[in-house]
Amino acid sequence: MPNQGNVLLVDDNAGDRELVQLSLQDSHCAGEIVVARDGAEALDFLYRRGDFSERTGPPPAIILLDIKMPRVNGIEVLGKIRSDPQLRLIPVVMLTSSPQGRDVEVCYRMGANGYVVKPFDFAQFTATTRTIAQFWCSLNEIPSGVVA
Amino acid sequence: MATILIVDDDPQTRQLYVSLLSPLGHKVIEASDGEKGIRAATESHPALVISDVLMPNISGYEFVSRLRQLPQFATVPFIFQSASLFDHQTRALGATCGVTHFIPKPSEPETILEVVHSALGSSAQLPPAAPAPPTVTEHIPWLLDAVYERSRELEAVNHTLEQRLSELAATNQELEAFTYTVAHDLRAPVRHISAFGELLSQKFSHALPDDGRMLLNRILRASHQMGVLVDDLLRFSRLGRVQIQRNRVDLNRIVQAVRLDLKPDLEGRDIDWQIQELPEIEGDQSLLYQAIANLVSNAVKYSQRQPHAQIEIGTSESGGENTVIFVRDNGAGFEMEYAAKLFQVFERLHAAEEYEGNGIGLAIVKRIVDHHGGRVWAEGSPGKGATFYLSLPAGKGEYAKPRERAAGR
Repeated sequence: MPNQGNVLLVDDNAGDRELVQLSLQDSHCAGEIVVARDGAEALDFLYRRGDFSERTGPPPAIILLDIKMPRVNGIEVLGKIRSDPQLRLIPVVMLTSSPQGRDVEVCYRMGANGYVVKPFDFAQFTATTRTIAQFWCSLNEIPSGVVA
Repeated sequence: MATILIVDDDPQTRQLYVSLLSPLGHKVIEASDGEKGIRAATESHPALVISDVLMPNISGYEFVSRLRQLPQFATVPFIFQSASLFDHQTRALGATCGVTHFIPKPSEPETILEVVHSALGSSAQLPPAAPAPPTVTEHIPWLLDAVYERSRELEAVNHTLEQRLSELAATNQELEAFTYTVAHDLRAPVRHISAFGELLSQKFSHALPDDGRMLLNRILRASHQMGVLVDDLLRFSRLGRVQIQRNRVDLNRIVQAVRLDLKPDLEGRDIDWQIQELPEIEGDQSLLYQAIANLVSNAVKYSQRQPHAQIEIGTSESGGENTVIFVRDNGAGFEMEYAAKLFQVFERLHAAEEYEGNGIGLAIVKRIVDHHGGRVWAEGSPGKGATFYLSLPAGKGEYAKPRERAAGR
């Protein structure tokens, strides 16, 4: 399917990254899946720095962001994105391991578009990531002016 | 021009009175304790006596009582200086000894002069003060000591409590950090066993021999149970610090929603549901949902061996302002001697092979009911089923009878 949005997947856990990638690839509902292993790498990608200095192409249609990560955590990345006029319109869904009440509030207050706890059940896990990708990569329109 | 006696063990206070009153032409005589004060008074016949309350040897109360018993001092105006902390008690006790005026400690010079002049002017109108009964005066120093002793004890207890509080806050924070670690670090590996096992089963099940498939299924079942356990534990620990949101809650709708959510578990079951009309109460919608869902799913689970299961949900007569609702089944039941254990976390009355479970569900119910200021208990007997009761505060009248209120408008 043409014009499917890309996904920036930010997660320090290799197993979780693989599960998200597997479920999205099987479903054919997202474009390219770019992987960042922590918040610092994610910011490198968004600001075209480090390994991503040569990057071209459109901004991701959705950022799937884990919270607890080394170096720069997900909440810090979310804060950075929402405070930068050039990035702040990119949809961000927190995809996290832990259903922590306080994190949920903090993330929504900081402008997250969703807060999803990774389900244990693989069928549910697949269904969840596919639903997110389907909505944000195929159905949702990003306003022009996002430069990342 | 008057002779004024100032009795105080603190030289600075005496000096303050000397420097305030001497320039106005008053003769100020000083004494550093009650005994010396009595001697100075009998020698110099002051027109006004000012005394501290707390002094070494004899207190201000005893001093004034003894002075009042001498005929020449029966009508002399008397001022107490008192710290504001015990102002009320000082005044009450002082009045019984014939003290007419009070100066709070500390005071501005203007206040002191005002009270002194008012006391000097009042001497003529002062009625002869009856000497205080000896029983009262004897007990006054003891009372005062007791009051001070008590306040010191209270201060010490307060200090200990504050320390405990900060220790508890620290422990709570540690526990929260621990919970977070369990949530994050334990959930991930369990999820991976479950998910990759599922993938293995989907893609390569055909390549496995029967006993291999059986082993894989056991791994999958165990990891599923582990996942449920971790999530239940998190839910339970989060309940420890949850703030309940009180709203009007229609228990009928909750029961309806619970049954809808349980639909997958009801497949192939023959259950006779008897559901009474339930009241509205004031409480936390999502917590009450969780509590009732746990009870109803227990009823479904423990009645699974009954060819004709019966589950009854209703209200029973309640005394006072509480609403009592019950969930009854005709399932496995339990022995009443273990009833108290039911609501303790990790306690189970049935083997996991018989009935799946981890012993957290009813502990969650109890926490939720506790948060609402209610009570939970159970009745049952083996093989004859169980009844779980929730007694919950019905809430304000406006919530308890919505229909009548609507009709009245």
